[in-house]
Amino acid sequence: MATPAYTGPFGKAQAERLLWRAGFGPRPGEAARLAKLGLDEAVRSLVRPGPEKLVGPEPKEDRGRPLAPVDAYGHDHLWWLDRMVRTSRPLVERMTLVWHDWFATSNAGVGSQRLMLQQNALLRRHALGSFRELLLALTVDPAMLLWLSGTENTRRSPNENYARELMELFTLGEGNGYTERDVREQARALTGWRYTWRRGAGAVDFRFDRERHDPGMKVIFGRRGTFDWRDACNLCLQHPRHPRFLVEKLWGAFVPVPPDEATRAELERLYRTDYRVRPVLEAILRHPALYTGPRMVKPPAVYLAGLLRGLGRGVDTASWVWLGGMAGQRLFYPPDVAGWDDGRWLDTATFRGRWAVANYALSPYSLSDRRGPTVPNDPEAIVAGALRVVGEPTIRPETRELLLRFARSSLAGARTGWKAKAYPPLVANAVRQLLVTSPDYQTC
Amino acid sequence: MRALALLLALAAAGALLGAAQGAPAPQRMQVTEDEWSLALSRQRLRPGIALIEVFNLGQDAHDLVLQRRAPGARAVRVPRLDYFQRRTIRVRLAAGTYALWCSLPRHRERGMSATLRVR
Repeated sequence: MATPAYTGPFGKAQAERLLWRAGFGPRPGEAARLAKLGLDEAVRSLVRPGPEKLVGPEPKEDRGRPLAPVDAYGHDHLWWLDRMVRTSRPLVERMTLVWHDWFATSNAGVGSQRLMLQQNALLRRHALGSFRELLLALTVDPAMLLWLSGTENTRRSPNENYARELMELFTLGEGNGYTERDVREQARALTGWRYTWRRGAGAVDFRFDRERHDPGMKVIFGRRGTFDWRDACNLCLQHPRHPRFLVEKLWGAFVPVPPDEATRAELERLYRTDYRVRPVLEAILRHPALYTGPRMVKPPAVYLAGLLRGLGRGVDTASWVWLGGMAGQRLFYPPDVAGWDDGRWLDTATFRGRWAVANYALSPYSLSDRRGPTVPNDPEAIVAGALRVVGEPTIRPETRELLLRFARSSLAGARTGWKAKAYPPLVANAVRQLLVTSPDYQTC
Repeated sequence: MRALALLLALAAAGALLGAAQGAPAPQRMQVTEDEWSLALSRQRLRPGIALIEVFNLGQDAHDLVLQRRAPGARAVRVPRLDYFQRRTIRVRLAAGTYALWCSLPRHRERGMSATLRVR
């Protein structure tokens, strides 16, 4: 039995939701073009994209210098944000973000932007591929080995850090089908990784050292063997509770309500064959729940990247680094190994960050009565102009009416005199800010 | 004569603008500090202007000294930084070998030193 597919109208609004959930929102006109493909082709274009093309202006910092992602604080964040803005393969980039959150690694513990960027490339390489290959690669990824003490885990002094998170956060879920003994035995299986410390360069030459590995008999999930790090991963993948964990977590990245039992079972079947993520993603992106269910809050990085895509603006300021932190999502610095807490995307502190993000994003387009085009003293035209500047997003009629009401009341006392010229651009700027901070634009 | 002066002024302004636009971006390097190590994002730089960012990821405060290994070479100092603080300095590097270290008591001896080659 195949998973159900959405059969309702697939117009611009549905294409917009798909592009926001599976990417970083549409560029102007992109949603309408995608809608013309129909649902199946639209989803196929996302899960089977061509080679990546970066479209738009090259990123730069405030003084116009090129980014130095390995050598300057925050440029890692800007570099990735630029990929989100300019990519022609939005789902690949979005899944890279999903995996970054799933296998949350922070440079606060790694201390090397170079190693973090190497991990980022690994996530991107496996973005739509095999979860097994991704898990194996990440288990021995240098940034992960540093972050979760993999290189401190030796036969003489086992460290349970990675073993615990491997099961709790990456493959099974907290307390879901494993015991404390399994954690200790998994830690033994994962022993053996080390690096060379080179003065001035830090940790280099990460490798497996047989002398550090515990080759003894272990019992994991009731199975006996002289397991090593590959076995540790494979045992988790073969655990009967793993497919359900993966399906529910992956589904949750795209749909805010749990899947029904039949859907979940079918997604598990799709995944179980060979741990491939792409067919599961394809089924999720075609599922009716994605198009008819409740709206999702856009993660801050997605919100900003999409806003810049809509505006046609590239990455041209380092302000996005501190603003990203203020809105709750500094890339490469998730708060802990559990990743970001989605429940905080729109709290009173992070909403203030989003407001500032919107303000900074719109500032180059700010209107004035002293320069630029004349803004008509017309509420309808002002609201239409605000929608146009961010790429004509679909909004609810009631939101449009609220914006109109605000524009009307703000212009009411400005029919004649200097106010007739000075007020419209001010009102237009305010309407733009209200539009992109409205619930309609903060969610998808 | 006045027109010629204007043309010359415009040409000079154009040349200056061109120089500014064509000037290569300064090379950059990050020095990450931790207990008890310094890690450089580049082991080698070219002679010329460089932006060096010092980023303290350790739990203690640290500073940084950069000095070319040559008689009479002047030391460049980055003041104490607390956890997660950073400071970028702009320096002109001559060819040679530079020593970097944290000058707080016993930090260098504990391992907070590194070598940068400029050539």
